[in-house]
Parts: sequence; structure tokens; C-alpha cells
Amino acid sequence: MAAKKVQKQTHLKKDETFEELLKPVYKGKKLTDEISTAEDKWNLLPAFLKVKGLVKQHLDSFNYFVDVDLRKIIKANQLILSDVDPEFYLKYVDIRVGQRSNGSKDYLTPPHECRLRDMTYSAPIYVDIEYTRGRNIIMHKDVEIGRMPVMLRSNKCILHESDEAMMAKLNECPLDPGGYFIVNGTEKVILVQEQLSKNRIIVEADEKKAIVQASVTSSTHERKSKTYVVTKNEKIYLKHNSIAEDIPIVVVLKACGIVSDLEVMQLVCGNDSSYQDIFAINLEEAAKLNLYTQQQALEYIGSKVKTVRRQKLSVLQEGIEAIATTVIAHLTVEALDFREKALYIAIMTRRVVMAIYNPKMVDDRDYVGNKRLELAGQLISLLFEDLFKKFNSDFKASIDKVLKKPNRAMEYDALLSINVHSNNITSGLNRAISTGNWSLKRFKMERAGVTHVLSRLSYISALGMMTRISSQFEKSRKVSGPRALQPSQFGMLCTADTPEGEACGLVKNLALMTHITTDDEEEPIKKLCYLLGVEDISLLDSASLHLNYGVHLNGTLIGTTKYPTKFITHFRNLRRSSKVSAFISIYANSHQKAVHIATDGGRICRPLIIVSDGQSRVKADHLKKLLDGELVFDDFLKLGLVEYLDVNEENDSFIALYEKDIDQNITHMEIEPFTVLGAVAGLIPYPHHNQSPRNTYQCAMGKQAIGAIAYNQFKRIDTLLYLMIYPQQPMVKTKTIELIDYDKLPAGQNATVAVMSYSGYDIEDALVLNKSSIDRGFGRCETRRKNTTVLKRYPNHTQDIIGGMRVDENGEPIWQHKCLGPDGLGEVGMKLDSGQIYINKSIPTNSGDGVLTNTQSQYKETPVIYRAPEPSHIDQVMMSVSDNDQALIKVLLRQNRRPELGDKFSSRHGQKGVCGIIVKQEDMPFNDQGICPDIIMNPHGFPSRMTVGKMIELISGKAGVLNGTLEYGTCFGGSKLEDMTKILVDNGFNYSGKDMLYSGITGECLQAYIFFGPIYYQKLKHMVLDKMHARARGPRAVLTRQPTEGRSRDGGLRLGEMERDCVIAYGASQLLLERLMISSDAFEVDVCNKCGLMGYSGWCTTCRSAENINKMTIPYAAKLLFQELLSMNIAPRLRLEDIFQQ
Amino acid sequence: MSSENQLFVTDEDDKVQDDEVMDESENIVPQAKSEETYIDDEEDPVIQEFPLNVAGRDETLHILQYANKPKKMGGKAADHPLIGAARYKPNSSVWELDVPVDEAAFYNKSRAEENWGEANIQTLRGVGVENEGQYAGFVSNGQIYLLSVEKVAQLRPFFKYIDKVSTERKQDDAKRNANPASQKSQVVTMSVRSVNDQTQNRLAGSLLAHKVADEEEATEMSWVENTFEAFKESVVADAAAHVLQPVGDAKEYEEYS
Repeated sequence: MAAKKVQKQTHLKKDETFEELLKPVYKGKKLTDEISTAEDKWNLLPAFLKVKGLVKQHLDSFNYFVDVDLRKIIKANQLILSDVDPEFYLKYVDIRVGQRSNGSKDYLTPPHECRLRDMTYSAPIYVDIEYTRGRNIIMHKDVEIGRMPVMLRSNKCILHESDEAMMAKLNECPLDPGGYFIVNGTEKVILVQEQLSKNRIIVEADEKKAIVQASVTSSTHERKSKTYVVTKNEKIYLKHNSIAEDIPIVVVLKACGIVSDLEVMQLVCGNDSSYQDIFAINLEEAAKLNLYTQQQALEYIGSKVKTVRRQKLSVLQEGIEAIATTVIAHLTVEALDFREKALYIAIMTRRVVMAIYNPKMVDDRDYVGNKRLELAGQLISLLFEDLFKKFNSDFKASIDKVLKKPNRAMEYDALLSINVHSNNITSGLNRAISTGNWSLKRFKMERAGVTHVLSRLSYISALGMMTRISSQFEKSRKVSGPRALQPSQFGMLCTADTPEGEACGLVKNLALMTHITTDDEEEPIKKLCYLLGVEDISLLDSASLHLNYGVHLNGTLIGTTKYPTKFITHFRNLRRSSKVSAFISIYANSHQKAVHIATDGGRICRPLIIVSDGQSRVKADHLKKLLDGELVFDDFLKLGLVEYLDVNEENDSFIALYEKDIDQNITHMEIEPFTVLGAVAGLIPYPHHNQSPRNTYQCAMGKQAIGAIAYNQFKRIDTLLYLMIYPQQPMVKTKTIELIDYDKLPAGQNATVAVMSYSGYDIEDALVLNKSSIDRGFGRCETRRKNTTVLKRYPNHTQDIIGGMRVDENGEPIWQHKCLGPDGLGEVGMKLDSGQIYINKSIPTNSGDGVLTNTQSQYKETPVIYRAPEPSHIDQVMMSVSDNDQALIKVLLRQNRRPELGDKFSSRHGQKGVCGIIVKQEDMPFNDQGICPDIIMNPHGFPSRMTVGKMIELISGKAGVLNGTLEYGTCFGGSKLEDMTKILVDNGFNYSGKDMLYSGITGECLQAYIFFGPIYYQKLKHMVLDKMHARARGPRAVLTRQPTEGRSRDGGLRLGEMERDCVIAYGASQLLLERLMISSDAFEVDVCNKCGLMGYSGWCTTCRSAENINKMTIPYAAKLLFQELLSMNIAPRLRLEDIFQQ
Repeated sequence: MSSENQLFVTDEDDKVQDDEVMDESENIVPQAKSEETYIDDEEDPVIQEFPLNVAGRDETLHILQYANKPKKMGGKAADHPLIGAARYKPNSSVWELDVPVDEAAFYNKSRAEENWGEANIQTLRGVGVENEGQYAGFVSNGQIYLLSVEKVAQLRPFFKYIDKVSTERKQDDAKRNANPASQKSQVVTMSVRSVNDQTQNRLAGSLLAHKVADEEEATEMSWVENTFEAFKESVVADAAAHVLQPVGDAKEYEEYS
């Protein structure tokens, strides 16, 4: 039986990452053990993550783009016609990425090689085309039109579905989540962007200005525009950017063909008399303008349109065009019937009227259900379509150019000119991803900072980056709304993980168990709705429109239904039996009397257990099958046990947190409550016992912790890498830690902490470190810094060379060349001191000359010299050839660092501190077992911070040490304090975790019992060595002659404006003079006392005499100012007086 | 065309009723079942069962909805207004019906003549919209007969006379205000465009549709009343001649649902 099971598992083996969690014996729990749904339903979570992964949103979105969206783009732009030859056409038939038409996949340079060689990890884009050559139609398959950067671990990536052995072979870390791109050797992430949902009506009110407005941002492939229905002087108008004036709403409706005032009233107000009273005034507005017919209204609107067109249209045509395509652009009318549009505008107006009547009927911009997340796939899709359009128009231009020539000798083959432009797509994509500047011509959109370099500071920081969501809001704005914690983000966005400071609340993180939807087809859903009894909107008369519930599909009214609950139940049943995609949401809004169905992409949703008839549908039996590997997460979906809810539908459900809370009204149950937190906040043990900002602080600090980065960390050559030498997995884990494999790539060590005062060097959160602990490797880390050199080739066939080493008279290499090998490159393992050379490069002196002038080339030495206060070791030297055939040398320099005074440490509870003193072990306190603390922490850190979680971590950790187990500190769960104290007592310790310690100095027993035990400590990347800086004399800036700025330039320490104020206030004039001039930019100047201008070398050029010249010292900056004033015809004249009267 | 003529008249029942009839959709068989069971739950027992006939062969049924007709028409002369003339543009599927205005009541003759000349006809205009899965039905001999509907048009008043006057006035204005500059003789640079200049036919989407509709000649139709009974009989007879057989058996339907 067991063997069979194992076999089955190897068969299923696709992603071993979560395999362990699904094995028959897991964490001491055997198959035969009793399974209770309440306890074990959390097993759905690893099952979910196994299918979905941590960065599934990125991968899904990219996969959708390359598999589906690309085809749609091709289809929308499939024909290229020539202006010259009406016979010519070229048609795109199909498009593929990295795969030929016969199914064979292209060889891609493996991602790690791309990283090392500064290349782009990309796959060719193939199209199948059909075009005319002369009179023949020619099909051509697999034409490469460019290269597409490939997202790591997407289905176009070679790592897709590869096992651990394969990953190791490719030098990849199996725990690396993927989801990023490699462009020119750097890893780039396209952050998730948060936006207000498109094509939906948002109603807002400004009570002060008495304005109510309904707005909708229409977004199609071609254009993006915003339409408003606003109130002005209690009348309602339609506003659009391309219409010069606000148009009275009744005129717009008349232009849409609703000519009778009665029908307008019916559409907007139904038979609600209070709405009618509010709206009635608008009917007058149209009457005042003498507009009665559709044609008149269209002409009125046409005369207000301000679009510039190449083609001249009549006023009526302008009006038709405005109504059909410009206004509410996502509903483009192709035919004569404007009814759909009329209804949409009427609904918008109705929402405005409703909000006027009841100001509470407005939408909340910050509500997560009104937001959509834009992912890598969508962003690249926008960019690609833009580039593809450009490609096609360039292509067309070059075709036209050839076809224009009257007598061509040969028949023109369009294929010849297609490859000319292929570089545009490749370089366009590369440039956008590597710079982060997204410029889309057709939307006239410029967006900067879309991509970021993947932070490889630690595994967690990389992971945190993949789940990050950045908001479009400006950081400088002082509104609190978008920054506030939204109740609707429960379970969708992490409640703790957000940065402090200006981006607080604007940058968010996904919770652990979320999914972001991709676009789904609307048409089949529409049909389904009609089959389920929805009355088609085009058959309804206006009078009966508002009698029943409206059914909205992606914000557009498609019909009405008399029985909304029945309809929703039917629809949900179809979804639960997977007849309809699981990610389509449906919910009722009773205020608007509407049923909303959403199929669009970018909605956040999460799985929940379905509860029916007061019972969870997931039974122990199902969980058993899940653990046995008979069922996977998707089966739970198919069986209708679990379903995805988006934020809007969640609001329409009753969700129980625990099984005990279930009653008859409950519709769903949480899979695990700790999934409200994200991956980064999931590291915190007992976060539910902490004051909430502490968890937020830890989220920021967890990303700075030094630890293991990936299994391939020693093979990587990154600009800067911090690695911990002896990382440990935490004693107190959480389920999240196991799920995200933090225990395999940890960033920290379990330190034995004594909470007590010691030495006075522990004030302000400073820590006392045990010297022997440091000797044993506590907090030891290494930094690895990359240095890249390119050996350039020049047009005159000269190139940079590497010289050998220079030797002295004894044949020994000179000191500077001591680390070099015979090849002129630093030897691996050598210690580099400041001033020594590790690449002995020379460049030709005559690189600019022509080929013929100089055959004998001369070289100038430009060695790469190591300059740093501390020596480094050469860890790796790599020589390769980059994309453009230039030799590329990368040298990795390593520094080993042990903790020193001022290095920063933190526990997992937002409690950071710097090392204040390092004490010899013999002076440290110890208990009667002889255990010495690694860290002494001052107890004042606790009362105001209220990090009770840290105390419980200590107790659980201590119990774990005594018991030989790893304990759990999972949020809303974890090992119970009661059990832990029991273990402590059983092992002869005090239940409270306090021990009796002896002073290391006197040997006396300490006066108080000391809270003593292990706490997981992280070493943060801020280290004294990187910050320490002082200078006496040093470099000065050329222009101002003032000392340079910044540590990297060996800059001076600035006595700033405020410090200056202090010195002035104190009256220390000589100090002021010294700091601001003598030590900075003192300059001796010759002043002519006659003309008051400056001369030089004792001569006044203005007066042509040396008679009245006086020497004085002024700041060089002042001299610059005088000269600059002179240059703009202002003569600052200096009048000198004697200080001492003679 | 002629069959159509006799058709649309007949089904013009009261609109509310009309809508209900149209509710029945294509896969009526499984749908009806599930609804019945649902209603059963609400203690709403089934009183009678009707056999369904999907009837009709090549008739093209258009439904005309009088969107602005009040629910209760005064006088109950007919369920629809009196139709003077009917026009149809088949390519753009535009319906136009002329309804003579009752000049005796609520009609300001002098004002009408003053402003618009002869304005004694109200034109109803509507665009037929295609609808899949919509059926018109009637009950005969305890059986329901369903006929598929091709297009549905909502008819709304179309004030041709106002538009006519306003365009005339606009043209007059243009003539009167013709500024002297335009009357002066001018040297015009002429350029010969290439033959296949595409600006001419570049109209797309709705503009093109409007252009086509404006240029299309309307077909005059004759309006025939009281043919419903005859039509009904012909459909019943026709349906009796062809009994529809289900493609699959009950089991298959169950499996599908």
C-alpha cells in the first residue's frame, strides 16, 4: 500500500516544493491519525499553493498574454494593405512565441547564462503570414518578427515544469519563484499596478460643492477616454474631453434616439416620483434649446465636438460619430441602433439622480472591489500592440516605397522587407522593461517606473517584491482615503505589509491565498444569462426597465430579471459544477437593484470552502483523499467544495471564520484565517499578540535581513549580494514559513536572549553581544560585490587588451600587481588591499584614428584598482562574450564580516537595535546549566512596544529547545502558551520563562529572575563598515572648490543650515568662519578699492593700475557669485574699510 | 415579403403579455423542467401541462414594439395605432410606419400649418435588431406553438417634418448669410487626386451604416389586418404535418444538464 502511494506521488511529481507537505507522514501526523475538518482543512492551502504557486498571478498573466492575447492582437491588426497596389495584401494568420509551426521548440539560452553574460532571456516571436506576390498568394510560416522577453517559469520558459534535478543542472534554484524577466543580465520585475476598474460607473459626490458625478473610464484596444455625467446648478450634463461644452443629458438621450420626454423619464427615473421630481428640470433644458428630434440633437452635439479629423464630416456626421464611438467608447455602436448606449447613459444618469436623492448612494473609490490589478501580461500586451502597430506601419511604408516604382524587374516579395524592422519590436520590449518607461503612442501614455530590479537582498525580499502592488495615486497628495486599511481587503491584501513613510498604504502586498483573474470571454456568459431567464434589454420597453433587477455584465446592462436570487443561485450552481469558469463572479446589489456579473481580468479573488445547509461541504473524507494525493486542489473546485470569490461577491456572502461559527445563514467558510497575511508578514510568530504597527515594521525589516538567497547563490554574480554564513531556520516557525520555504532559505539565527540591563551600553534598544558567540559565527555574513569590465573593440580594429603583471628586479611582482595572475586578471582567492590592481587593462591610445594611419598601436594602462577601506578577496573571475561580441570580464569580490559595534539586528517583531557593546563571554551572565546569552536585550524595549508575540516566541522557543521540537507561532493559532509552559515546568524550568542567572563579573546570583530563552534574530544589511566615514582633507568639487559630498566620494561632513543657525545664535563667530570658509572654500582675491571690482595677481584690469589693490579672503562661492552677477550686467562693488582705525 | 406582411400584425397583443411570451427560450425543455421544480418548492403546483410545438418554416417574423404607446390606448379601437403606410429598408432593417393624426382632438391645426405645413402624419421609426433564441407563441387547442422571431424593432416617433423645416431653415440661413468674400471670384488651385482616393469611402462603423440607410430605397409595404386567425390555422396545420423528433432521448438531456 505504502509503496503504491509513493509511486503515485513520483508520478504526480511536477513541483516538489510542496510535495513534502502532502506526503503520508507529515510533521508527525500519520495517515491513520484522525482527521478533523476543523484542524486539517488548512491542508487545502499547500494544495492551493502547489497549483497556484506564490507568484502565480504573474505567470498566469504572462501565459494568458502569450497564448491568448497575442492572437487577439494579431487578429485585430491582421491585414496590411498597400496604398499603391490595391491587389496587394498581407495577412497574419497565427503567432507563437518560442515555438515553430511544427511544434518544435527553440533552444533558449538558459536563464542563468543570460544573467552571467548580460543577455536577455527571450524567445523568438513567429508569425504565419499569407501575402500576394504578383498574382500568387503565398503562405509563409515561422517568420520571426522579433524576440519576446520570457518570464521565468512561465510556460514558455525552459524551467517550466522542470524538476529539481533539471533545475540544478541549469544552475537554477528550485525555490526561486520566477515571475520576473532577465533583460541585459539584470532581473526585472513588473510590479502589479492597482487601478480603478475600467468600464464601470463610479459615482462620487462632493457635498461642499454640491456636485454629483458619475464617471466611467472606457478602455478598448484602440482608445481610452473618460465620460462624466455631472450635475451643474442642479441640472445634469454629459461631459467628455472631446466635446467642448457640457451637453444637457436629455439632449444626449435624444441624440441616442430617445426622443420622447416620457421615455427619457421612464429610462432615468422609472416610476419613482422622488427621482422624477429631481430629474424633471432637465427636460426643460432640451426644450429651451428647441431640440425635439434625434437629428437636431445629433447636430447640436456635432457642433460642439472638437476633434481634429483628416476627413471633413458634416455636423450631423460629427454628432453620430461622437455618440457612436467617442462617448462611452467601450460600447462602440457599429449599426444604426443606439439603444444600448442610450441605456448606459440613462443608467449613469439614474445613478446620479439616486445620489442626489440619497447622498449615501455613492461608490467608494478605495473599495477593493472597485479596483483592478494590472499585471505583467497586460502591460506587455499594451506595449506589444503599440510596437506591432508601429512595425506594421513601417512595413507598409517600405512596401509602398517598392511598389511605387513603376517598372520593377522582379515581382516584389514582401517577405524580404519584413525582417528589416524586426529589431524594433525586440529593442522596444527590451528598452521598456529595462528602463521601466512605458510609452504607448496610441493612448498618449507615458508611465515611468513600471519595472524594478528584483531585490535579491534576501529570499524574502525577492518574494515580497513579486507580491507587491503599487498604486497609481500620487505619493505627494495628502488624502488619507487611499492609504487607509480597507475592510474589503481582508484576505485579499496583506493587512500588515506596507512601507512606512510616503508610500504608506499606497504600496500593498497580496495575501497568501489570492488569485488575480485574467480576462474571460463575455459572449458565452451573455448567452447563458439569457438561457437562465434574463430578459434581453433590446426587447424591453423603457417603462418596465426599472421594475425588475437589472443584470449587468462587466458594468453593461444586458437584461433584467424578475427573480434575482433564483438567477444568482442557478448561475452559481453552474459555476460550482465548472460549467462556467471558476473566476466569474456574480452578486446582487439591492441598492441599485442590480445583479452584477464580472468576467474581466485583474480582480482579486480567493478560494473559500462552500457551506450549505449549515454544513461545510469539505468533509474529513475529502481531506483524507487530499493527503493521500487522490485529490488535488482543482478537484475541490470541480466537486463544488471550494470556490473562488472576488471582493464584490464576498460582500454578498456570509463567511464563517471557524467551523464552530457555522449556522444556517452561513454560505462560506475560511480555509485558514492566517491567510489574511501575506508571505512576508507570515514570518512573524504570534503576530496576533503584537501591536499592529510592530508587524508592519517587521515586514519592512524582514526584507533587509541577511540570509540565504537561493540554492544557486554561490554561482550568482550580482552587483551586491549579502549572504549569512550560518543561517538557521527559526525555532518558532509558522505554517507560512513552511509554505514559502523560508525554512530552507532562512535569514537569521536563533539567539539565546537574556532580557536584562547590562553595562549601560544597551540604552535606546542597543544590544549587548557575546564575543564568543560572534567567534562561533553568530551574525557573521559576507558581501559579494561585482565589478564588470568590457574589453571594447574600436572601429580601427584596435581593441582593449589585458597586460600581464609587472615584476621588480627580483622577479617578484610589484605590490600593485601582487594579486594578478600571468593573464593580467586577479587570481581567485587572493586578498586585495586598497590600491592593488585586479584587472590590468590597457586601452589603445589611437582608437579614434582611421585604419590605415597607424599600424603600430600604442596602449595606455587603465588598470582596475581596488579602493576600499577594508581588503576583499577575489571570489570569482568570469570571462565571457556578451550579446554584442565584446569580451566581458566580471570579477566578484568577497568580504567576510563579523558583527561589530553599530551593526544592526532585529527580532521578528519590529524590534530593531544596534550592537552597543561586545562583551567577553566570561563577563556575561549565565544560568546554573552554564548557558550564556548570545544577546542581552534591555527590558525597556517591551512596555511601550507591546510586542507580546516576542515574549511568547521566547517561551515557545525555549520549550522547543527543551523538548527537541520546532514549535509553531502561526497567526491565530500556533503552539499554545499553556502547552509551552507545561513543557517548561516538566523540564524543571519556571513556567514564566524566567531563570535565575549569575553575574559573570561577580559570580553572584542576580537580584531578579531573568526572562531567558531563544529568539530568532535577523542581521540587517545596515552595517557600520559600509557607513563609517570621516575625513580631514580630501577631494573638492571643481566648480565651487568646496569639499565633495557623500561617502563614496570621500566627501566632507557638512555643517548645514540648521547647525549654522546654532553657531550664529551662540555667537561663535570664529568657529563659523572656520567651518564655512577656511575649512571649505577659502579663496584669496585681489580687490581694487577704487572700482570695487576684483582683479588678479595684484593688478586691477578695470582701473589698469596696481595702486588700490587689497588682498582679502572670501569664499570661492562668493567670488563665483560676483562673477555671475557681472555677467548679467550687475556690478557688485566691494568697498573695503579698515577694521582698526589708524 | 408578403408572408411577413400578414405576420407582424397578428401578434401585436398587449405588450406586457407579449414580453412574457417571448421569455420562452430555445432550450425550453430542460428549462421548463427546472423551473417547475423550483416553483414546486414554493408551493405553486402545476395546474396544466402543455405540449410544445416548434412551428413555422420560412416565415420571417418581425416584432414591432410601439415603445411610446400607453398601456391603455384610448377607445380600444385596436391594440395598435392605425397604420397609414408602412416602409421597410431591408438592408438596414429600418421600419417606418405612418400613423395619420387625429385632427379632431388635441390638434392645433393653425400652429401646425404655420410651422411645418402639412403635418398630419406621425411617423414611427425603428431599427430591427436581430435576436437569437426569441420565439413568438400562441396557444391553440391546448398546445403551444412557437415561431422563431427574426428581428425586433422598437418604434418611436420620428419627426420628419421638424427636421425638414430645420434643414431648410439652415440652408436659407446659409444662403442669406453667404458672406461677400465667398461670392468674389477666387483663384482656386486645383489638384487632381489619384483615382483610388480612399477618403471617399473611409466611413466606417455607425457612420457607414447611417450613410447606407440614408441612401437605401425603402420598400413600400401594404398593411393588412385581421389575418391572425388564418395564419394561426396555417401554422397549426403545418405543425401537425411535421412532428419534431428529439435528437436525443431524455437520458441524454439529463446527462447534459
